Amino acid sequence: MIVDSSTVEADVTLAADVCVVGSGAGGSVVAAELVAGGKSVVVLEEGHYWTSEDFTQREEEMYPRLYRERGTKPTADYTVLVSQGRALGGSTRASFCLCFRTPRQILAHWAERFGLSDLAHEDLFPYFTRVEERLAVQDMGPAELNANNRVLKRGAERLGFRGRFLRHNRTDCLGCGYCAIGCAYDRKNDALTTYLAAASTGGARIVPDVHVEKVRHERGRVLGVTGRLAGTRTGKSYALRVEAPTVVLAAGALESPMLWFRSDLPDRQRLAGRSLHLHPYLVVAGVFDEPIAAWQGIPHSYLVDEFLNLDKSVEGGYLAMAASALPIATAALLPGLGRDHRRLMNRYARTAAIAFFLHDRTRGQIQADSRGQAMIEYRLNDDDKRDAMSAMRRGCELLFAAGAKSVVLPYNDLVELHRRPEIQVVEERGILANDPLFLSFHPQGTLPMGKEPKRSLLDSFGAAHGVTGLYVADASVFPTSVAVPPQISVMALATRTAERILRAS
Amino acid sequence: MKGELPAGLLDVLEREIERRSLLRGSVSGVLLLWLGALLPSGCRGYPSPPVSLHFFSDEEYAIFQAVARAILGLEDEDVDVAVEVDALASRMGGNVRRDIRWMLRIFEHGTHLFDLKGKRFSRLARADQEQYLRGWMTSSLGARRMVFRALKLLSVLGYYGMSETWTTIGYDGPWLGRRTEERRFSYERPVPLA
Repeated sequence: MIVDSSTVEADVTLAADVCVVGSGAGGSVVAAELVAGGKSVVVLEEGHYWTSEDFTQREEEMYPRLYRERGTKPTADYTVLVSQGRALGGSTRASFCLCFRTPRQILAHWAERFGLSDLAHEDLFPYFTRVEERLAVQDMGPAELNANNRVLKRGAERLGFRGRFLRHNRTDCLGCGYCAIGCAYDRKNDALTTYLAAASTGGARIVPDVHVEKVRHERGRVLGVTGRLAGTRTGKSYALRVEAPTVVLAAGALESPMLWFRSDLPDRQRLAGRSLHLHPYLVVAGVFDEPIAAWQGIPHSYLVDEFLNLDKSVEGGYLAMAASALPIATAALLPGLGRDHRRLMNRYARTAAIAFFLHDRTRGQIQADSRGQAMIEYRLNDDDKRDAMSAMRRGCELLFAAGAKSVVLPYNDLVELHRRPEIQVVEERGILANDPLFLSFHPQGTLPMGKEPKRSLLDSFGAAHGVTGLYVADASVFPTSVAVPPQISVMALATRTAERILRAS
Repeated sequence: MKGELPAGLLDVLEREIERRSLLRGSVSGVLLLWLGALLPSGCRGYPSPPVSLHFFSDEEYAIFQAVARAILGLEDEDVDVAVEVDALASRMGGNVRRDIRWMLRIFEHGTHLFDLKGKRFSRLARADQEQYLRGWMTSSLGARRMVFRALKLLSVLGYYGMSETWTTIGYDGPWLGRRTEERRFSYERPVPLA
């Protein structure tokens, strides 16, 4: 059952076999699998329980509702704005429904470098299949291409770049285009409408609007968590205590390490928060003569993966997908000011946009700032800067090949190119701190798995080295970037984590 | 002096000084930013806003209105971006609100420091305002570019959140209210915890 904590008028204590912190891609799966296995489960979520009736398709209203810090959590030097969902169902409520399996080359790399030899693609195959069936994952096709995706496909075909249709967890999508701010028609098969619904039916107690402060532990064994209930009708905040011998952290790659810090969980090698990857992306825009209306239709249905060659190297490279283009987000990303910016926005309906997602080698760091909030230290290394410059060049090629009259680069000031050779400007400008601007929906890698406790915090099942009863089941566990949107990777690994918990008891 | 600056921005400035090999001019820029934070916030001569405000002071309202209109390239349109952002900002967290106040203050008076102009930002002619903004947008100092980004974000959030602005860009607006489509999922009603 989903719990309404607004009626609480005193401190509350709950008891369960397992307490899951976070209700997104990882937490929802763990909760559903454990309930199905006969465990009593409490799920705690910092965000609110929003239904599709709350989704107004208005950016200025929905970003604060569905995203932590309105989706604009900046890295320390403001180079990357990081979006993390904060709602019951987590980021999946605001996701684009992209379904990628963890590339087999990445898993092989994890086996070789981090000793994760039981996570080969063959080992994970049944978990991928199980998750995809639950989410009703299906292939996109020509009918799902909006004008923006058609531009990308046309440009790639004319240049001979490799591309394919994407796979999504949506059913009977109407193509309204507002995926990033919640599906008002419930056509996403997200964490809330699939796994959490099953967990609730099976008896899990799901508590939104609670801030978890600490994991309680003693002598290497987990005891439960403490937190605060916000948003009560009395206007007061009450303590929530959950007694549970097993705790699963699934608060996302930014908040799970913060909880690790606040709880003084063991970390002799000081690894927590230190290997952050953001899978950052930048957007190159093209202005066309014909209408594009990039905000209409499914935002991402086609992929160009010509520039991510994992057989050649498991590090570096990037993916190209059409970019979502709602007006406020577009206006924030388009460069320049004054008349320049106005002129770009006047051509908004004829503008296509391509997002380039870097398979980043940069290792950033999460730490607590002076207010106890997560501070993201992340400065692109030279290899990733080279990839970003390459991506801008490719964006220019793709858009001109597709028929763009001009191409706009994502620098702070207006850099509009009218001929392909003008892309030389990228070499002159390079990549500076917060110029150009990058975005991220996929932070990962802050509590990494590995065989050796000296080099990792978790084993290959997400179980903490040296703390009995503590598990992590979100994108924190990846030892490197997974190179692709991580939803299916998180869910498959979370399924495996739940199995391990059931076996352990 | 630390107490004069919001912690998040202060952290950035401190790291700029400590860790990065900045040009001498950039270090000077950081020091000027620090000095700017000490500038008075209560100058006279700001017009009264047309409505009662939730977050901005009268001065902040006038400054932000000038900032937003210059960033967005607005001429004589009858839209009040500052009123929109005032309402949005009033619902933001305390730290964010403090950052906004600090940014507006230093931005308004930074004209004396960065461009050696005799007038504060909101009193400059539009061309001079845009030139001053461009200085922040393309500054070699990351902290100044960061402030520009934040002001631009607030401006577009306020302006393009107003439905009356959508026709100017060809945006047809949300489906809700003009198309009726079935909602598919049956949401359970939450049960009181206590």
